[in-house]
Amino acid sequence: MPESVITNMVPEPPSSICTTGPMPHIINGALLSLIRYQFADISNITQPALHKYLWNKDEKTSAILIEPVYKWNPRNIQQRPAVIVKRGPWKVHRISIGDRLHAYVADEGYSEFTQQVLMVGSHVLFCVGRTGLEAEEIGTEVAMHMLGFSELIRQQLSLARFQLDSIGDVHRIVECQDHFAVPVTVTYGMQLNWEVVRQAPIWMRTLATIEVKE
Amino acid sequence: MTAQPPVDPRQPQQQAAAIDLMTYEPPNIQASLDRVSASMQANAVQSTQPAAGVSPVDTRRAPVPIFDPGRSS
Repeated sequence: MPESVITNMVPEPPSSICTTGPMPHIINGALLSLIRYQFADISNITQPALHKYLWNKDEKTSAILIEPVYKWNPRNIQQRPAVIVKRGPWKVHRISIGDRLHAYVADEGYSEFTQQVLMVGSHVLFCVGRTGLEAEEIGTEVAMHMLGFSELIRQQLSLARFQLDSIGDVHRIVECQDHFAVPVTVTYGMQLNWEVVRQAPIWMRTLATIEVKE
Repeated sequence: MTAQPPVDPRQPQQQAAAIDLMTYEPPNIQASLDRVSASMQANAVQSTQPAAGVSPVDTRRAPVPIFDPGRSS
């Protein structure tokens, strides 16, 4: 569990995510919420052709499905468009010997050592339409939303980087042959710091090694 | 020479490649992640550079010799 998250050494407003750290499932939920809010209000949708696809909480009546990939079921989609959010790979990049946070002086005796790594990851947002053009339109809408608000998303999610990586080709979906998908990929990165703290102070360990001689 | 029929973009694209949403991985995603990491590392290095006009070495203190044979008896 990271003790703190350093967001690129630039002072930024605090976020509630500071208490949890930007973990994979939290980024997943945050992106899902962002896209749902985007399609929940017609004023957030820039393309008039998509104004009829308003999202609501009831997945049976919602005009567009916006779900994580593990809830993806081709039977539920019927004749509706969808945005399916899937987490991509995360990688750990080491930036110091032993992952140590050098030039850091612990100011109390319980700290064993402090470590850091860089974590980078990606998410794929599958924009699904009944035709190739519809998939392209939804893909463009989502991609422009991610691009336009990337700096705000980066700050609110306590990330060091957040960027739109690519808008993929139109693909047919294997499980659902009458729908098409445009994969929109976003990448992000963060620095994770943590501190290993012993349960007893230094002198407690010293006392345990004293031998009594008669 | 025969004219090509107009393409209706609203018709399904039969030639589109098929993907499985559960197993799809974006092409070159590893290179993209490496670029994100590299940009973060570059920023971290820059932030540790001394500001202009400031020496990273404290010159007020004389270097301490590790071994001085003249003082040994």
